[in-house]
Amino acid sequence: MTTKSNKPIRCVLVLGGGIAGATVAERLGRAGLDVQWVEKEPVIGGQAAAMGCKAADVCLRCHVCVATDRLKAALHAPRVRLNTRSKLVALVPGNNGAAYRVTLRTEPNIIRRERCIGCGLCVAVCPEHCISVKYPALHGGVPVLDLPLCRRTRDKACDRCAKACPVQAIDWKEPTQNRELDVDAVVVATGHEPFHPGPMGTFGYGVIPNVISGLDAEHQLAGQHRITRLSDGSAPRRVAFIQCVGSRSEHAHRRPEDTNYCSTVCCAYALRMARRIQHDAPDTSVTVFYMDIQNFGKDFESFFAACQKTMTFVRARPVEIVAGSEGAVVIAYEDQEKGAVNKAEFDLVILSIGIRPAPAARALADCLRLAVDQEGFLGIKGTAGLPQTHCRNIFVAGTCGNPQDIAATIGQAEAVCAEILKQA
Amino acid sequence: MSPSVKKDKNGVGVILCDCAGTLAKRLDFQALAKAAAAREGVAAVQVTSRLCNAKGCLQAVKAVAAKGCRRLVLAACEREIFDPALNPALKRVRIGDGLATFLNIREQCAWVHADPAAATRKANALINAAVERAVLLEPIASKREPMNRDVLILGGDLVAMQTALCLARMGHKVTLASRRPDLGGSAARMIDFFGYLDDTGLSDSSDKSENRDAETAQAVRQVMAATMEAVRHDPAITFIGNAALRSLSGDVGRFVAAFTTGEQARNITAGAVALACGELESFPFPEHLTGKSAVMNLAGLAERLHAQSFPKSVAIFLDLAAEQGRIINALALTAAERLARSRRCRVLLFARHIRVAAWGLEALYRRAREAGVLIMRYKTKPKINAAGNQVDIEYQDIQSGAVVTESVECAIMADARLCPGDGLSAPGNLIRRGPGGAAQADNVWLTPVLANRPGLFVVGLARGNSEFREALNDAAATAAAIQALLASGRVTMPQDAATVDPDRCVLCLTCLRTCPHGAIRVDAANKTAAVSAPACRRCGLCTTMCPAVAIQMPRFTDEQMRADIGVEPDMTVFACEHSAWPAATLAGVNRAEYSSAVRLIRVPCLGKVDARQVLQALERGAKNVTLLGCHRENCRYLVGADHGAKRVARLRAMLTKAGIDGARLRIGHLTEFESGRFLQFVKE
Ligand SMILES: Cc1cc2nc3c(=O)[nH]c(=O)nc-3n(C[C@H](O)[C@H](O)[C@H](O)COP(=O)(O)OP(=O)(O)OC[C@H]3O[C@@H](n4cnc5c(N)ncnc54)[C@H](O)[C@@H]3O)c2cc1C
Ligand code: SF4
Ligand code: SF4
Ligand code: SF4
Ligand code: SF4
Repeated sequence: MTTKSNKPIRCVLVLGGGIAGATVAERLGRAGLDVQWVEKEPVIGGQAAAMGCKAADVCLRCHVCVATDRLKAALHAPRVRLNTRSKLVALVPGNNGAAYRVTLRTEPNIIRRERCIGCGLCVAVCPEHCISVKYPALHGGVPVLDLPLCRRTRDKACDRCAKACPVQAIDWKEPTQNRELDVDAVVVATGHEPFHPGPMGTFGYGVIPNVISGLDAEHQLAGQHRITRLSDGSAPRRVAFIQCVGSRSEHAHRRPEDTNYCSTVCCAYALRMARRIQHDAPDTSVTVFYMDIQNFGKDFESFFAACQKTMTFVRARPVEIVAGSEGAVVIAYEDQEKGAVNKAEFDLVILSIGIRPAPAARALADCLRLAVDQEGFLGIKGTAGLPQTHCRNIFVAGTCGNPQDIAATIGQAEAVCAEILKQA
Repeated sequence: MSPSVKKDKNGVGVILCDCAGTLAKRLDFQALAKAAAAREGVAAVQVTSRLCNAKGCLQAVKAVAAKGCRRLVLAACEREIFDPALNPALKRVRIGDGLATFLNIREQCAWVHADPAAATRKANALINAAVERAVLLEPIASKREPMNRDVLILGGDLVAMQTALCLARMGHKVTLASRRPDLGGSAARMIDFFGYLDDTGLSDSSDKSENRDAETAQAVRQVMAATMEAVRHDPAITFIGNAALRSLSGDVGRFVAAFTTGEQARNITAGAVALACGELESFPFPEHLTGKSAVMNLAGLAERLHAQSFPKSVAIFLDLAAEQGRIINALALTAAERLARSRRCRVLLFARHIRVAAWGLEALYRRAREAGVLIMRYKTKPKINAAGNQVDIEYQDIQSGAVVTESVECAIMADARLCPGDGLSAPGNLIRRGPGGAAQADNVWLTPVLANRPGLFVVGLARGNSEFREALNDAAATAAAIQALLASGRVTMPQDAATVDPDRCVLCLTCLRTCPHGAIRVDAANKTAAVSAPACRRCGLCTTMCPAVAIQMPRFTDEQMRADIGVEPDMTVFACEHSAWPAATLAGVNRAEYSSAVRLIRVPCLGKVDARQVLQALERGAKNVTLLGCHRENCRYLVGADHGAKRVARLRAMLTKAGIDGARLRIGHLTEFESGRFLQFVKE
């Protein structure tokens, strides 16, 4: 438990603009605290903002819409000051009774979001296509500018976008800023890194076009509301999901890219996607290669029973995946029941990748002097509800602390709010 | 607002925003302004370039107010964009809440219809409908209602106590009422079995692991003991044991819970109620194993764990009665590991799936195997027989397919199920239940701890959440939510809740059964149904279900909705404001093209549209009518989308009978970010 500070908490620094950070920022802002909200990217959203709805005939409770809604609410919450393209660079003990003095570094955003009306004129005129709209469901038409691509970054003259803008929202004079702030509490909500299946090699990701990751599938669902093959854009007729890719590995000690814990979200999203695929095209066959199917959601029993009726579940870890003819993918797996190696052909293989600690989390933990667990997640998970950072008034929320789904992340973020409001 | 507003139906001011001039290519603002000015009831028209800018907005609003306009039509982009500028401006000129009406000429006209003539024609039609609506508007006053700051928590286990402590720290008086005689609850009995809460999270078995195991058990005990101690000594917390809930009446800010404790009846009043009364209970054993001394459940094991002598071989069974979740797997794996490591038992663990989706569980699973626990995953249920000190198990080996028999000295049937709490089911409590009887419906918008009734919260097992840390987080989240609700001891509410006309109400109680949020009660004194404004969520479901048409919602009266439908709509789309409406906006942002014949009518929920609106649209010439809203079972009002779907099916049949093509009426479901689906529906 944190020790109670003498001074009530008035001002809170929230690091990370994913669903965890958004929940904390919105709740605390509404409760009347001053929130400095920091996101390293030019827009908030995190992983969940790029995911898709998995509803079949009914909502399948993936919670992505809830995340969208809460992210939006945080953008409109009172007393929340959002700093995009910003990072925490230093944290020292504070003055005047504040717990910490922090230094924030803000790179130029160029497009001033509070002025922009989202008309899209700049997007249309940029010759390098470096202005684009990201997560329009959250941000409307307000675009972001990708500086490395911009002509001005390469010492060429160009001001087409600024000229096109009817409201002078493009400000090339915006400097890089270092700001010092006194804050009473810090919430770290910097999220996770989805497991990247490339280095694992065996599953052919990045080599065989019709092997995609669960994250790719999420992005497809978000963008086109259906899952198709990369090779020809067609709807697959035979789909395989491979569970625990990068998670629950027995070889984590000699394969640093693997992890030896359950990522807790992949069984859920995979089966929901599978249901969605079969709802859209009922004659699609789905095969799931798995070790154990994790229990999720309130109505798991009947959901899983329904899945077992229309899908094939194979308890096996594929030994080899190779490209077949006409974009097909051939999976060789050990059939536990028969003890032999079997082969099966699919049109599309989806790797159910899990959640890893973000590589930059370690540096952040060093800066804040936070406790980090064995696997690289922030905070120590013991018998308390929240991960313990062993630093006064520094809290951890969301997947930077441990793998969890959107619902659990929201619950944890609200619990962090309670800890802070107790001292407010 | 002043009563003069009511009389003056002509003072409509129309403000058009051309979005810094960027919409001028697609919309003829001059023509729009001229047409608007010529309409009956319109006293002033103003074209502005920046409604979203504080200065621009104030200027425009002042200009129309100066011409005596007390009602506004705002034709611009989405309201949330210019609200920060508009609200203070309206305050300045004293135009009250409820007297402005909004339409979108940017995302719904200029950005989606390439032909300027068509776009302008549609914008004009939308403005006409909005003026017709504006004339009907009534000012909406705000009312302050007192809220009782005290909190009632049902339950007495760890999460109930933690909720209480957190609320007490925030300055609330809390009553803990449990059906059990003392604090602690059922988890206390299995307190040694939470091995996965080991704070090292290490998966290797160092020689200290026996110690670690004991340390973890000790830490859980400490949390429990310290919590009980703190609750007992907190002057703001009162505990009532043996309390059986009889009824829960009133609503948010003023609940009254009736209990009996022993012979006594007593009422407890509270502004909010947290249900933390869930427990896990073992499944009854199959008949042939009942009463056998060698067969026990986890609680039975907990009692015998510290006994001197213990069987040398044990089989633990999971997933026989029902698929088990994380917490039961955690208890079973801890038990297995302890028996194997400390008691040197031979342990077989039978399960369909090992559930390890919580932090620390995979490591526990690994330690259990390292301690020698044999994990037997089965597909067909093993056969178990017990006699005396022997349990025989017959199962199919997954690898060889052969049928194998085993004998052990003790069988532990670990399966458990949720038991959400007593007394919640009374019909007057109006609690909508979820699968397994959970006190929280299975709807994502209730995440994490909301119940269907405002002011009612669901914590831990009561909502089906059994994981130790997540349940503790539920406790804190509940406290934070209650604090947000009750901190000030009052609430200021615009009076736009559903309103029952007592003269029309025939007390059929349809509305009371319909309201998903338990906001309607019988007002016995006045012989009418009555809506509680703080509890009403403004979905409008009740207004469509009342057979006597006795209920109206001030922002969506029948008259206003008729105005919204407009004249000669081609394709009428009733768009739920939580999904279809923002999806249409998103389609605009993406500059999608669709027919300018599509007219969107904003509704709070699919459940708000009934036969009258559908028929009106058809009567006024709509070629087809579409209800577009949230996915089924994703409705923010729980059941609105289902009501809509059922209603459409019924209406289609009726239309077909009447000789009208039923296919002209459709329903579609999407989320707010599925603009592609929106386009599919309007393009078909
Ligand atoms: C393939 C896949 C599918 C999934 N599907 C589902 C699903 O269907 N349903 C579900 O419930 N969950 C799902 N999840 C889990 C879900 O993604 C997470 O629960 C959720 O995104 C966690 O949110 P977060 O806020 O903790 O982290 P993130 O979403 O990762 O957000 C973290 C934010 O912090 C920012 N940030 C990082 N470092 C810094 C820094 N130093 N300073 C400032 N800002 C920083 C990042 O840019 C980012 O915006 C899925 C996960 C994966 C990998
Ligand atoms: S499936 Fe997911 S995104 Fe779609 S409605 Fe349900 S919870 Fe929302
Ligand atoms: S031109 Fe200006 S107002 Fe338009 S989108 Fe670009 S930055 Fe925003
Ligand atoms: S959730 Fe499922 S797929 Fe993901 S790591 Fe756990 S067991 Fe494997
Ligand atoms: S509008 Fe909805 S929440 Fe309000 S009383 Fe009617 S049914 Fe209940």
